[in-house]
Amino acid sequence: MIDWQERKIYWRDTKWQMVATLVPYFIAILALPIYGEVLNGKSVFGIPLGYFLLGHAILTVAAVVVAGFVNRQDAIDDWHGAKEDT
Amino acid sequence: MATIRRSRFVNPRLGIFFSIFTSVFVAAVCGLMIGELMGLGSRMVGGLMFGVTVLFVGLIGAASTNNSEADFYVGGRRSPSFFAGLSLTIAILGGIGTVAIPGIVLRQGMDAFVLVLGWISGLVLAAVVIAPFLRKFGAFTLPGYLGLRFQSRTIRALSAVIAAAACLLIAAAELKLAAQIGTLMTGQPMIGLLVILTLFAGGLGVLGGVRGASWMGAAFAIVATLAICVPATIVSLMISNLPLPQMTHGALFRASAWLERGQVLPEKSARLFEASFSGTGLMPLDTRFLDMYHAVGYGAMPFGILVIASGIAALPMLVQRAGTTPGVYDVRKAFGWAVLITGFLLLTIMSLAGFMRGYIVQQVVGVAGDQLPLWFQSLEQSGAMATSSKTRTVALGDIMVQRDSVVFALPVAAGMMETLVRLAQAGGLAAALAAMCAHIVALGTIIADDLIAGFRAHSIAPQKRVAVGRIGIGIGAVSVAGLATVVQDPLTAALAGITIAAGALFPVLALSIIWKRLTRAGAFAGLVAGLATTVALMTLSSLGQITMSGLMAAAVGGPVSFLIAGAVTRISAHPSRTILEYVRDMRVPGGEAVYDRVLRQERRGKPPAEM
Repeated sequence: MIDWQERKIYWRDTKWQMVATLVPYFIAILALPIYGEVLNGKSVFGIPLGYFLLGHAILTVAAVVVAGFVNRQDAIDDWHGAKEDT
Repeated sequence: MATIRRSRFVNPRLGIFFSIFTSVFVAAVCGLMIGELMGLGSRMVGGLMFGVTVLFVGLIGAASTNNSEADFYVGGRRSPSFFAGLSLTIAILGGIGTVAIPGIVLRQGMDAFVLVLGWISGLVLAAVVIAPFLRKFGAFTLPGYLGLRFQSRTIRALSAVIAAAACLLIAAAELKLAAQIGTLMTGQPMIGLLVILTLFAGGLGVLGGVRGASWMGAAFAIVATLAICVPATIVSLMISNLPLPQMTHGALFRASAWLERGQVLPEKSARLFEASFSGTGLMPLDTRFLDMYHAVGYGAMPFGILVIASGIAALPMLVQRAGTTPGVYDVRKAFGWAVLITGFLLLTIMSLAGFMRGYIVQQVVGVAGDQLPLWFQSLEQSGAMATSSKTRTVALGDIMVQRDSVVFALPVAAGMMETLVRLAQAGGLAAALAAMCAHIVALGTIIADDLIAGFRAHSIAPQKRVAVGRIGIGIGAVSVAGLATVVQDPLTAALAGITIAAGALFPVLALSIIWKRLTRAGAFAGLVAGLATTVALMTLSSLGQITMSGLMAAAVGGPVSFLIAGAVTRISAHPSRTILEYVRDMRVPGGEAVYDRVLRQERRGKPPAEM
């Protein structure tokens, strides 16, 4: 079980992990629609670029971001001895 | 201290059970195809498909009947990550996501991304900020968590009212949509189907609670995924020889865009904070697909995404589902699966809309009004589409489409068998029923556990708690049915529920996890301020007193709630040591769930913590 002093460090790492996961993701989510229409002039795999980035790319990035979060948070749990099965 | 060992709890045969369910459902669909070839009528195929969907999943729900407190309220805390994620996906998407969103994509083009990105971002937000911590806390309901976190029955009751309102609106929207689809499939009157589906969802919710809703959700998700993917893949193969609708539909948009450029359409530009979505009636295709900001303003796009994301993340149903996994690591994985499956389904759903738009632009636009393709004439007869031009050449703006029929119209346009048209309808029905069951169970447990039993000084015995839960779900189901009879547009009702959750619940919920010093007074003030601001702005918007859309109410209510909660916390006394200990404990995955420990101590005779 995680000791008292380690809890503070664990929570600090967890908070940074949250920030590092969410901030870039939400910047992309909120900024991309502004340029969506303009980007549609170009295409990738025959798909209008704006549509591709807002649809395919963001939905893929969302899955990758959460998968990365799960793995990194598990590593943080492991590092600080906060895992459930230990 | 007791340690959660997650691998011990999970049923290793679940994969086999759901494989058998999938095989039986596919066999039934194949049987219906053979029946259709042997002369079964359209109405009969629709009725049988409705019966197969409801009966097969209903059997799983009935088999999940239980009398255990842990099973009834948190599914026994033993759902494996994948199935929890699958169930969560379809409960979040619901009929709104699978039926209404494709219609918005078809009619309003890229402005629909406010919904698509909001939905997926809500799951991302919940996966990172909300679900793991609430799973460790272990409370059965969202108000139960807030009540214990702040040791306040007032906060528990207030948040229960807000959460119940959100659940009620979304469940009623899903029930209405399910009844509409049921009418299409069986030809029975809407009111009869409302009663039947309420009895179905309410009855199975009463028997199985969260466990039943969870397993039925997984089964409904399998049906909906098949129903969405099969027509999309067939059309993709027909058009491009590639079975990848998610990739092939985009090229169709590009080809259609060339044809759309030749059309004379009115110039439209949305106001800064306008977010107006198509209604349920027949409405013209009067915008180009690749144009943006004609229905959703420049300000409404980012704020709308944030509102929907925070509303989804704070849904009481979602919080309850987080409690069904064996541990914190599993809930993170479950949300990971949910994001992956939701992303895949949203892309496939957008491909359905893309293919339909392609069929319309390439086969109907430019054709004489009296020489329309047979599929379009068939859809005209069913009321799904229409054209205002009867003899002259049809322009894009002459074509009118009913929002909620797009998914079912595609198999007709592609000339597929009647069984596949009915399969698409069964998918919409399954998604709507899954979401409805999930929200009714969440509503019922909130009524029972937080509003009926929540005012007692001591917790009630497990068996009695299950009995009260059954009563609560019964009351919830009847309330949902009552509201569904007056719901005009399911999408508007569901967005109202999400807006209330975003404006009133999310700020306090997020702060209660991130900021351990958030006090009881701060949380109460935040809830009141968020609720009052959001509801007031929604009311003014619906009365036409302000130009802002109802969805944007939470874009003001949410920040107000954050600010008030923070300001009041700064001037109020520090939280008690018990509260600080709960928060510290909640943040660490290992060890026993906070709520389980408190309940165990209380039942052993230790006096409950001050509330």
